[in-house]
Amino acid sequence: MVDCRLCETPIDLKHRLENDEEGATTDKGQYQRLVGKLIYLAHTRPDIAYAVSVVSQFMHNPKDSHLQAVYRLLRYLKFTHGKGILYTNRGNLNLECYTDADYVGALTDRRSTSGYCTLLGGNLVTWRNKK
Amino acid sequence: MSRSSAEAEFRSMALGIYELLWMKIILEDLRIKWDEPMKLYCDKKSVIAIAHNPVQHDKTKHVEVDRHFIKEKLESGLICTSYVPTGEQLVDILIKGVQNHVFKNILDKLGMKDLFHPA
Repeated sequence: MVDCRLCETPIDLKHRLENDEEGATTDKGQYQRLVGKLIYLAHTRPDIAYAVSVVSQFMHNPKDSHLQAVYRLLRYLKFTHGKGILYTNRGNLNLECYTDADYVGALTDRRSTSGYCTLLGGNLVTWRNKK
Repeated sequence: MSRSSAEAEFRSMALGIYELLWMKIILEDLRIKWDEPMKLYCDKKSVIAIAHNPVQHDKTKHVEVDRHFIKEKLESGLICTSYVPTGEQLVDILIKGVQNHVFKNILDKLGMKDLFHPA
């Protein structure tokens, strides 16, 4: 990963990640440790929340295609190291919530993804996405 | 599994309201008074219309629990829903892969910055 090409987004625009039974196997332990650390990082980085939620769906049977997606995410993180949420005083304490849903986003099981983020006084405080 | 996109949208609206109610409790614990309605943004006009419609008909029967929950909170004046065009929707980066410029734009709006960058 020393001289890798950097990425500007954490995940492909139209990624087709799903359970693939035929793909080349990969080291399960390594994959799980790697994604486990990314989940920890996602607590303070909403930008990778979606990508992490996608790659963590394959923890039980990771294949090479999934590992490539994780590497892509790592390339993004290298590009944006030091990024974080900056809280600033905007002079108000309005509570706002943005909600949206991706209807039947998952191709195989046709389940939807819902997500929301709440802003307190214009600052992001909580967010969540759930398949 | 959702049977309509409206159902999926209702689900995420309900989840958003849960979060707002939690935040309100935390603010009250911190003795911050907050009486104005909390804003809930949604990018689907039909869902807002259904939530506001006093007549609840059978066509939306399958989303009963979420719909009634949202309606109850709307009527009590705790929250108010507003429409946000898809271009200004901030949640997109949490539910799907987006293009480069959209991604950067949303991160700017969310206040994500390079913390070590000399301003």
